[in-house]
Amino acid sequence: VPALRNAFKYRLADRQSLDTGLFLHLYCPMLLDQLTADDFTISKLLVLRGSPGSGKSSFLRLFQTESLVTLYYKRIQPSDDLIAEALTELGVFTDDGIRYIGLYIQCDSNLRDLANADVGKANLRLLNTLLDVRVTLAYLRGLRHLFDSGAMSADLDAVQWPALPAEETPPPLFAQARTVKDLEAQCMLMEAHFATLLNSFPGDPLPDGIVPHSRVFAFAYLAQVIALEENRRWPKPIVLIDDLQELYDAQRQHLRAELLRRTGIPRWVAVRKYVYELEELLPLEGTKDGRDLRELDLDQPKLSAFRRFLENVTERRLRSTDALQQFTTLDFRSKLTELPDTVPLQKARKGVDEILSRLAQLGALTQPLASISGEEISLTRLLDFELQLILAERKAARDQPYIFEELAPPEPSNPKTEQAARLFMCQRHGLPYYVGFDALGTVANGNVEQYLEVAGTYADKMIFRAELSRTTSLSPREQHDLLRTCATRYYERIEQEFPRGYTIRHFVENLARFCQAVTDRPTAPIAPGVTGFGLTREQLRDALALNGADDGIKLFRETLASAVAGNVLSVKKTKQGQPGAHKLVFYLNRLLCVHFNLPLNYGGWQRLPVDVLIKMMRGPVPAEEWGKKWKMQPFESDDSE
Amino acid sequence: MNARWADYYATKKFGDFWTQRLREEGANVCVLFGLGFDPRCLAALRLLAGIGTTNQVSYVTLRLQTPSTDVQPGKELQTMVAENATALSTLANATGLAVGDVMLHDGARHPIGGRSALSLVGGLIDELRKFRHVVVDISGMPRSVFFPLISFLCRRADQGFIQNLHICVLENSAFDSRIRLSEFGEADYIHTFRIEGSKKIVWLPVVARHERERILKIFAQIKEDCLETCPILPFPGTPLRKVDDILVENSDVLYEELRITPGNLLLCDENSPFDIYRKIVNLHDYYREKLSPLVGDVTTVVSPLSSKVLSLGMLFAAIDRHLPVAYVEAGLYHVDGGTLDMSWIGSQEPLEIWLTGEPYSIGATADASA
Repeated sequence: VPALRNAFKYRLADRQSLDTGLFLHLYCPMLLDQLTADDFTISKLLVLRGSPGSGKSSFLRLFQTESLVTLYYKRIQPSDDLIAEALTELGVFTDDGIRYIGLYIQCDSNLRDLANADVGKANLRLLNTLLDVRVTLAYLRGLRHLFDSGAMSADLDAVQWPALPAEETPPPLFAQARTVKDLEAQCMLMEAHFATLLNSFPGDPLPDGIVPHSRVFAFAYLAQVIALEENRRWPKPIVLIDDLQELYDAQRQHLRAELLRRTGIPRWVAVRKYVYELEELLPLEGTKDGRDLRELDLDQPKLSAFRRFLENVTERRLRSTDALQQFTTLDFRSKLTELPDTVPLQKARKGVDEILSRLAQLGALTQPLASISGEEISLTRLLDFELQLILAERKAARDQPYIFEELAPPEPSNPKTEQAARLFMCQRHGLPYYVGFDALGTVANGNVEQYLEVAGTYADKMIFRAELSRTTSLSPREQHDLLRTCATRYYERIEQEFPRGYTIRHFVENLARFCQAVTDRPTAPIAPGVTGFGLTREQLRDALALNGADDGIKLFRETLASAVAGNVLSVKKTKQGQPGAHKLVFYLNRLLCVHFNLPLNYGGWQRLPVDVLIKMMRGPVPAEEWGKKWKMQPFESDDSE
Repeated sequence: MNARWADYYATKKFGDFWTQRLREEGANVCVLFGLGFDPRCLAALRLLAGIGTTNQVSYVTLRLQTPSTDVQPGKELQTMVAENATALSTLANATGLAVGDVMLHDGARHPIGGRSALSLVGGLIDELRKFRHVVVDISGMPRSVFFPLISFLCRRADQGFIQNLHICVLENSAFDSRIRLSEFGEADYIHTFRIEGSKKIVWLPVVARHERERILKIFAQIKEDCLETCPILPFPGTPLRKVDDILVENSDVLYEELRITPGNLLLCDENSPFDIYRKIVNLHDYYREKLSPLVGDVTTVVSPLSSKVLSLGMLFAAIDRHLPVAYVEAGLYHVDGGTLDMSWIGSQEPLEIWLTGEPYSIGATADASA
């Protein structure tokens, strides 16, 4: 890659390695751990669910022939060992070669638009046909790739594949024995016919050669081919269906039935994590998880793994950036300076006086006002003042005060309360809060694109300084301000970027004001702060029971689904409470936390009634309408994960 | 240049042109327009109704149905739609031929405006055949509707079902800048302009201000096959420094995120669709000739993200060379400040483009006789 001015911003930098190399090295070993050899040998349906950016597509692409060939032939290199080792354990690689290849099928708008084609009532059957063509072509292209790379040798074109048995009433494509060459030509011709169909005008005839299929036959066809060609030891196909959520409901339901049908080849389906009852992207209720079906949650890899991934991305981008080529990730981290140990007392004086006077009011003042003097005051001390104040406020707010104050037990502190004290301290004294590489990694919200955008602005400033031969370090204030600028830009883009963007922005605005109100309460009830809201499955079901009777529910469903799909909100399931009483917590994107001065930690959330949420989507909601509970939250909330 | 509209007919004297046309014996005209919130949607019909008689002027109303009418600013726009509908109902000297709803999005919020419009107009071809002139007024129509619609009518004109096809558009950059687009969906090809097969791509987006999101969405869709990107900028335009403003505002996305070199920028006259048309056709032919032997099948993908006049030029190129059109449809329109200044509408005439029919058959007849 040639040196760029700012490689963090370049959309094509690292594309190859990000898609198939870097991502695989750092992420996939952990995801691969979730697979078992059975997922390959037993022809089951494997459903991969994950949030946007969780790596579903990249994970599926690992099993495309191109990636496998690359990995197989480069497996002697140490950097590839982890993946190759995992794939060998899973039986994908053997000494004989590659045993399985993925047939990547993206649910794009061509597949979806078939539902709108004017073809009588044959739309779903045409979906079968196009899937048959794509699956078959993907396998043929995979084989061709293996032959071209020298992994297999034979006259592929001349190999003849038998027809499907007549009792299966196969479509013309699979109803007669064909050579591979002929089959490939037929499939390509049909693909071209489909393109013509999708671009056709009203009244145009259905292109010749497109025959609607009553079901998807390609799975059975390829299974038969593999069984018959066992002596050739051709790789077994795995159908990889990506972005299932892009199809229409009816198409998904139809495809679900096709995928659940027992057949001789494994089918893996990636689908965006849905908002449970709100969107049934691929409901599997009533089917048995086990031999025929398995679900994987791709959101499992932890934050530490994502951090490692980001560090590697940073390293590569730095290497490609002209003025920062000599930097390592470690250098980059060290350029993000932390807060100093002390601040001028003059600057903090007003805030300190506020705290001390409030502590005096609460009868919790442990040191005389006069004891605070000098030019500087340490941050540790300022933090301690905030902590004391929070504990004193909690004590004062107790429902049942002790008759003899001196007998009252001291309020306990914990790391979360200390984090809340840090937030309060920064807000009170105007100190930068969003500082350091960890903050930068957290605001990425698990999404590498978001990380690159924010880190790109940091890099911009460093490049500018390097070009002027100045120090490239960024002060805490600069980091804080840069993050806030990025956060504001993100917030302002919400409206443009997503369906229902206007209502999402309203909702975020209201929700964030609510979170601020709870977070900023003097008792810091849900320390270090609230950054999301929770719903029970019952609440969602009840809301849907009103479906049709109330436009608000439609708005609620669409807004929430779009916000989750766009990563404006991220969903986490909590196991808190009674067994089975799971809640869904919707957290604000971490950049929105920056925009609204909220902490970056996960864990703090509040329940909100659905009708309040709907109001929040429609327009500004005054605090008195937020519900009854938020002002009376217990000090040490058990509402956090 | 071997191009369909190498010679063309266009005039800004809409009134004079139609006065002359409608004076001809037996002349009649049918206007197809999109009834939405845009107050310009009735401009051409009003002018024609003022020139012709009730028997001469007919119209087909495509009632544009948008989502998000349950919340602001959708509600506000609905009020503007209702005002336009009232204005239409009081229009004299014109006969309503047909009216139908055009759903711009389906329940899942995917754009279906093109299909919906074609389904409506496709059923009216026999009616339209009776008119000497058919005019599509695109002033109030989204691109996802008028691209397939004009392409369809052009095809039917070529098949002899339509005698003369005209396009008209009333544009004013100050007015347009007050209308903001938002709630963008995913990038997709416009109906009937999908890419066919697997091809390498040269991407020509025409760029305007505030378009970073759409540029990146389309780029994400095509980047795997994209060999070259040549952004098109309006120059000369109104004001003349518009091109600088666009470049300054989009410098990050163009120069840093997509790494466009200045040599790849293409300047096209904002006031004529045929300048951009010719340049796209030339560029497409050039790239196909030079790159196809090296990388296989190559096509140009165009993205109309700027004014309607420039978008029209792209459409003509797409029709002529069968080019895919990648676009991101807006789900919501805002009017900055809530109201639009409409005082200029009566004083400015639409641009008239005679797309198929008599002027072109003269040459063809001459060629045939030669």
